[in-house]
Amino acid sequence: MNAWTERRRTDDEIDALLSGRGTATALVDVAPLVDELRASYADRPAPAPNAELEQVFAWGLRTEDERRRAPALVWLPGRTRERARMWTPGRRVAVALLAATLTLGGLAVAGAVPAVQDAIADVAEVVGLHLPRSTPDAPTSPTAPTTPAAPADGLSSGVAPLASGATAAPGVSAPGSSSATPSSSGSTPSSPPTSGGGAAIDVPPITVPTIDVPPITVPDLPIDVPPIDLPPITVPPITLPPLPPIL
Amino acid sequence: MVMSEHPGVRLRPGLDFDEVLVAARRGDPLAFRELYDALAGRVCGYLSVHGASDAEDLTSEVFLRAFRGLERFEGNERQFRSWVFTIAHHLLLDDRRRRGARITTSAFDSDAANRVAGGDVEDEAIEHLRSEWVTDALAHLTPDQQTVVTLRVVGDLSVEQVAVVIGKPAGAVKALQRRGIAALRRNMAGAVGEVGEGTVTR
Repeated sequence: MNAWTERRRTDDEIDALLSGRGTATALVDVAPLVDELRASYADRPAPAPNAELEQVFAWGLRTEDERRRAPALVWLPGRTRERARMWTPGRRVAVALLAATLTLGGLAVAGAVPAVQDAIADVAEVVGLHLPRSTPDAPTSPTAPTTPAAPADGLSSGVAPLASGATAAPGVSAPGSSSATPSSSGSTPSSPPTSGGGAAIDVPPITVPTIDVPPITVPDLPIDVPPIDLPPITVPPITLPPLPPIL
Repeated sequence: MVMSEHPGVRLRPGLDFDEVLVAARRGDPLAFRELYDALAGRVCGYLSVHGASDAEDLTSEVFLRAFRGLERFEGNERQFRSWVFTIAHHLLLDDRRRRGARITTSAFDSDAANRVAGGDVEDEAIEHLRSEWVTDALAHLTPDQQTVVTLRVVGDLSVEQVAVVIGKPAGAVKALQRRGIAALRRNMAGAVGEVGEGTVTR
């Protein structure tokens, strides 16, 4: 056997070993290693795809323009890894605090939430900001009662349940009753102004009349739809005149 | 060598590669998933055995590139397999350049630990030792020999397919695998010799 034939035989044996088709006697010593390489690294299941590939599996591929426009893909890890590095915990907390301050401060300025407004005003005062209070002379403590007769049943100060004499319809809650000042038998509220001296608001009791809604019955309508016979449509062939030669 | 013995893309039974490829070119997400499931395991294995920093994430990157470049691909099943491994090989080289690293046992360790996570402690230890044994043996080969041997065994590619992946003639691939196997045999014989000598001296 010459050298060329010998080399070819060796190549065939190596090829059989590496492709898992059998082991020649000459390569028995290295066969366990090749088998172990195959068992450890070739016969493994497909790994879980990353988020970007998951998007492809869910929606297909998008062009670069679509990707730029699509807000969902902004959150892909590949693209957001650098953004995530920018959002350190400290920055997150700072942004959250700023957003909360702006939101609640805005509400307070609008006078929408007197209790919160007073609380924020107290906090702001510590850092030297003078925000308006719910009333010009509101106490510094946000938990101070606004009316002497304010109930202590869990309702917020200044808010009382509907009076027993209210004329709300049975089974129907009076809309706006929670914002109505308590009254006895629907009379004008006579509670004194808040302890801070704020202006009292007279809100007349709201009465909701009983509404009788008759049951709605839908009669059975016998509807007969006759079959529609359409005549066959014949389209005449269109013949186009020959185009003039292009000069 | 009989090239047809090397598989192309192992799709689920009943699926035709050409139809799946056409669907993938149309952008069908299910077709992408089929191609991924058929090849991702071996691609990830190839990247792992070479100590890629994050083999699973890199595998996803390989397939993202492949799917985005599908319109440029022309060929059959086996050529698709070679093409995917070519992308994987290039990404691996980029990854190596970034890290300036070659095969390391630590990469194998973490990978083996992940693979057997949740299993028996004894099994884990045996698995760990086996992986270490394989990687230690491969570390004695040159980078080109490592690439050829792993592409052939883990990637299940033929000599011709490996030649396409690494951009060398088939004859050069044969020479590399011949020398690689010889180096592995020498190393194993040396290891056995060392053990034998140790036994004698004791």
